[in-house]
Amino acid sequence: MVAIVYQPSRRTVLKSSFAGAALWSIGSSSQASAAGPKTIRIAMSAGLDRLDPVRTANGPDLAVISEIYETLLQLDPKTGQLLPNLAVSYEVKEPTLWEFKLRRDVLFHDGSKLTAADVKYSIELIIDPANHSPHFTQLASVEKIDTPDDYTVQIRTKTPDPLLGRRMQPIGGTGRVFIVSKAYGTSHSPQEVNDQPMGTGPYRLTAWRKGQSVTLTRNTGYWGRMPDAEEGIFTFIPENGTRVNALLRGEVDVIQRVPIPDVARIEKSPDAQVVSDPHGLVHTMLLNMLEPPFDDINVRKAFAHALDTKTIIGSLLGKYGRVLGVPMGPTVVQYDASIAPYAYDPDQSRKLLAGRAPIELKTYTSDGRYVDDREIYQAVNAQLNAVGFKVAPQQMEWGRLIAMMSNRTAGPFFIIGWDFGEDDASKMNSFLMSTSSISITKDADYDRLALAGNAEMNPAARTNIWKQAQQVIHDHYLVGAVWEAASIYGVSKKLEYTPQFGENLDLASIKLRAK
Amino acid sequence: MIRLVGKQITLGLLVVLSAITLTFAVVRLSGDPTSLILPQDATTEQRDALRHSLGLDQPVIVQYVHYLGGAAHGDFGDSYFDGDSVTGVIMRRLPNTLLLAASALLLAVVLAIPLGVLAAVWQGGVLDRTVQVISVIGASTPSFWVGLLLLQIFAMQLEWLPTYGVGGITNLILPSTTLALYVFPRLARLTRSSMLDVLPAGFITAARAKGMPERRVIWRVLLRNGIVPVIALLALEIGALFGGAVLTETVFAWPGIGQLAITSIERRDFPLVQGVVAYVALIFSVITVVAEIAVGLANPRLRHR
Amino acid sequence: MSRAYVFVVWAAGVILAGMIVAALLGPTITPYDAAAQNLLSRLLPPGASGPDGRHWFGTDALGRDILSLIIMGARPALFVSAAAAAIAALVGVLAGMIAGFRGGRFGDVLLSLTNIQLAFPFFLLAVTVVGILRPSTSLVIAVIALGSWVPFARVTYADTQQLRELEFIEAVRVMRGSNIRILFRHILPNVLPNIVVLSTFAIGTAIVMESGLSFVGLGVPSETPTWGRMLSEGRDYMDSAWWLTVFPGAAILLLVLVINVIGEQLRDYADPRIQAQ
Repeated sequence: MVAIVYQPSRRTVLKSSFAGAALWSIGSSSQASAAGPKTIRIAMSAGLDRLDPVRTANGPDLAVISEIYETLLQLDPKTGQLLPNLAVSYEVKEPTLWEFKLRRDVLFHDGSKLTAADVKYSIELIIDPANHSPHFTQLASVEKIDTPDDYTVQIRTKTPDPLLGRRMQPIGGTGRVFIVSKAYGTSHSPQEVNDQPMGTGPYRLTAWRKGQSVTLTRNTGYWGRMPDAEEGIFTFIPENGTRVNALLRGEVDVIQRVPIPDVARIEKSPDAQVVSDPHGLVHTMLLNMLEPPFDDINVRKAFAHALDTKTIIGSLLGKYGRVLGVPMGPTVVQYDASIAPYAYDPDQSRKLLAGRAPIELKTYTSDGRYVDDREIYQAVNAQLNAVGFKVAPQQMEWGRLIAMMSNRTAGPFFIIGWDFGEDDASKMNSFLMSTSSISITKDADYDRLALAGNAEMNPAARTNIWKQAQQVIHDHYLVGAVWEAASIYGVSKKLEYTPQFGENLDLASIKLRAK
Repeated sequence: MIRLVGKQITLGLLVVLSAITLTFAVVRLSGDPTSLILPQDATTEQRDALRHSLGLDQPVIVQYVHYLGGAAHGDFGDSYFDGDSVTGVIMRRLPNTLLLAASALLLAVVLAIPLGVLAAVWQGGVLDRTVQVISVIGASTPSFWVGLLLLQIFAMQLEWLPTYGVGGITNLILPSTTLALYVFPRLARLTRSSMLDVLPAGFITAARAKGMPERRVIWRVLLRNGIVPVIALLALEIGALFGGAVLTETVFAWPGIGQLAITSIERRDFPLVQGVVAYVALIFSVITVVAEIAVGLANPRLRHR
Repeated sequence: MSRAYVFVVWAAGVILAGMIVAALLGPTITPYDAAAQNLLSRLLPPGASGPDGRHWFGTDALGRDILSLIIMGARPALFVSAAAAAIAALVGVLAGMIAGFRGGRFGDVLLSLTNIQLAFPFFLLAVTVVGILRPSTSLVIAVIALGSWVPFARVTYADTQQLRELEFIEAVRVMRGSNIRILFRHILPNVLPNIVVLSTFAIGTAIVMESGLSFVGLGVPSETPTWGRMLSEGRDYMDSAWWLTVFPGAAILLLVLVINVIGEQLRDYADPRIQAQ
C-alpha cells in the first residue's frame, strides 16, 4: 500500500464548531465570573420545588422562603424561647384564645402595609383542606381568626393548643405560618404567587431560572436589621463531591451538607472553612412494637444494650455526631439531660435472649438518606448478630421505604430522622404516639402523657409532663438508639457565618468580613 | 410511497404508545406517591384527600384513558412536586441535554471520522493500531468513571475547568468529552472498517487511472462511498447519547433530561416520569421514522413493495 | 499477525479465565471475608496494615478489604451479563430465524421493530423500569436482555435470508423436510459463529450497563457491592481515598477489555474476508 500524504483540514472544522457552541450559552448564570463583592453565592444540596409557603415544607424551599417571607415570631437559638418578629407581642388570653399584636411599620415588597387581614388570610390558606398544605396537621387546632383592629389578631383554637405560638416561627419544617399578602394572593393566580412571591422579608426575588438558580436582592424598605449581602444567588448541586469542589474553586461561597470526609479538605484550603451547628437532624432507631419480636420489652432491651452506639457514632461521625439518651434534640425546651443513653452491655443482651433460637430480623435499610446510614446499619447488624439476633438486611430506595413506613411494613427496625428545630418535645408524637399515621410504637403510658402534654398550657407543668414521658420512653425501651448529627457547612473565608438552626440556612445572618 | 410513509408513522406511534403504557403501568405498580409528597407525619385523611385530588383513587383504566386524552393535546399533567406543567419542565431542560448531546456528537465525529479514514488508508501502520487500541479500550470503559476522573483531574487538581452546571463553553468541555466516549469508539471503528470495505473494490485505482490527485481520491471517492453506513450509525448513536446523558448529567450536575429522569424517579413524580419517557420516545420515533422514510425513498426497490 | 498481538490475545484469555475462576471460587479465595466490616480499619490506603492484617488494595468506608470485594464483584458481573446475553441471544436468534425464513411481512415488522429499539435511548427506559419496581437480579437481567437482543435478531435475520436461498435448502424443502427441522439442523449451525461473536460483545456491553445501573443505585442487590456500586459508594471519597473508585473502575475496564479483545479475535476467525488475506 503506497503511503499517501494527507493533510486533513480538521482544524477548520474544530474552530467553527466551537464558535457555534459559543452562541449556545444557554442560561449563563455566570458562576465562575465574579459576582459583585456584596453578592453571596450559595449551593444547596437539592433543588427548589415551590416558593409558595402554604404549599411546601421542603428544606431548600424554606431556606429561600424564609428570606422572602416572614413569620410573626422568631426563635431564640440559645433558650428556645419565642421572640417578637412581625408581632411585637403575643398573649394567651384564655387557654383557647391567642392574641398577637403586630408591628405597624412593616411593608410588603410592593409597598403595601402589613395588616391583621394578611395574617388571617395566611392562616386560613393553610387550614383550607383544598390547598393540601403540608402544614395543615399542625394548624388543625385553629377554629377561627378574628381581627378586632388592623394590628391585632385573635386566634381561637378548638382545644387548648400550647404549640400554636411555635408554629409562628420559621424553624421546624412542617407547621410553619409565613405571612403572605392578602391583596396580592387574591388578585393573582397560585402559579403567579409561586413564581413571583410577595413577602415582607429582608430579600426580594429578582430572578428564578427554574432548575438552575434563584437570585434574591436586598429589600431596601425592610423594617428590620439590614443584612450584609446585597444579593444572594442560590444554585443546586446534588452531587456532594461536586458541591465541595465548587466551594474550593471559589465558584460558590457557601455550601450546605458537607460530607464528613471532605471536612479536612476544606479546612486545608486557604480560602474556605468549615462551620457547623451540633444540633442538626435527630436520628432515631425505631422498633416495631406492633409485631413480634419487638412487642416483647425484653427483646427491645436486648436490642438496645447490644449496641455500642457511642463507638459507632464516634468513629463514623467524630465530633459531628453525639449519642443522646432521649429521642429529641438537646435544644428542646423540655429536654431531660439527666437520662443517659443505654449502656453497651452485650452480655446482658445475650442473657435476655438465652435459650431461644436466633431471632430473625428481615430489615430494610436506607442508603445515603442519612449521614453514614449504610455504615451505621452495617455496624449495628454485626453487633446484633453477636448477641442472638440474625439480621437479613435488604437495601431499599428511600421512596419505597417511606411508603412502606406509612403501611407499617418497613421491617422490625429502621433509622429515621426528625427535625426538632421547633424546640418542642411534642414532635416525638409523630413516631411515638400510637395514633400517629407512621408510628410503630404502642405504649399506653406514653399516649396518656403525650395527650396531657399537648393540652397543658402552663409551660412549667408541660415540661414536667414531658420529662415524665421521657422517663417512660427510656424505661419501656420505646426507641432503640438515638443520636444527633451536626449540620456542616462550608463557607468562604470572606464571610462570617454561625449556623444556629441546624440545617436551616439563613442568608440574612451571613456577614461579610471587613477587609 | 404513501404506504411506506403511513406504515412508518403507524409504527412510530405504536412505539410511543407502548412506551407510555409501559411506564404508566410500571409507575402505578410502585405504590402510593403521597408518602413522598406529604410530610412524614401527615394524617391518613390528608393522604386520602391528596390522592383524590391527584386522581389516584380512580380505577387505573380511567386514569389511563384520561392521561392519553390529555397527551393527545400535549397536556401531560403537572409535576407532583413543583406544580409546573410537565411539558414546561421538560422544555426547560431539553435544550441542555440537546446541547450536551450535540457537542458530544460533534466532538466524536470530528475526531472519529478522520482518524478512522486515516487508519484505513494507512492500514497496519502505527496510527491504525493506535486507533484500534483506543477504540477497544474506549468501548470497554464505564464512561461515568471517566467523567469522575476527568472532574477530579481537570477541575480539581489542575483547576483548568469549572466543576458544575451550565454556563459558558468551559462548562461544556468535561461533560461533552465524557459523553463523547459513548460514541467515539464505535464510530472510529466503523469508519475504519467501512473505508476498508471500499478500498479493495478498485475505486482507488480507477480514480487514479482517471488522473485524480491523491488527496481528492481520498476525499471524494473513499469518503463518499464509505460514509453511508457511518451516517446510518450516527442516527442510532443519538439514542446512545441520550442514554449516556443520564449518567453524565448526574456526575456534572448538568440540568438536562437525564438528571430530571433520575430525580423524578426517585421522588415518584409520576407525571414527570411518564412525561420524560413519552417525550423521549416521541423524539426518537420521529428521528427513526424520518430516517426510515429517507432510506425508503433512496431505495427504489423498497419503494415498490 | 504480529507477535505482540498474539501475546495480547493470549494474555486476555488468561485474564478472563482468571476472572471466571475468581467468580466461581468467590469467597474461598478472598484474603478476607469480603462482607466483614471493621470500623477500626476504615479507609486504609493500599498496602497498609490494619488490626487484622495487610490490605493490598486498601479498605473502604466500612473497613472491608477492597481486594476481597473486587474478587466477589466478579460474580455478579459475569453472572448477570452472561445470563442477560444468553437470554438476548435466545430471543434474538429465534426472532431472526423465523422472520428471515418466513420473510415478507414478518421480516418487515422485525426490521422496523429493531430499528426503533436501536434508536431508543435504552438506558433511560432501564432506569425507569428498575427504578420504579423493586430492583432484583431477575429484573435487571431481563431489562439488560431487552436492551441487547436486537443485534442478534438482525444478524440472524440477514444470515437466514441468505442461507434460505441456498440450493441445499431448496433441496431439503423439496424432500418435504419440516421447516423446524430446516431451521435447527441446517440454518442454525451456520448462523452460530456470528452468534458466538455477538455474544461476547453482548456480555461486555451488559457488564457496563449493569455497572451504570449500580452506579445510580439500581443494580442487582447483593451482600457485597458490585463494582458499579463500589464506584457509587466511593464517589464522596474521590479526593481523600482514591482507591475506593480506581480499583473497581479498573476492574470493569479490564474485564470488558479482555472480553472485547477475545471477541475481536473470534470475529476475525468468523470473517471470511480476513481468512482470504
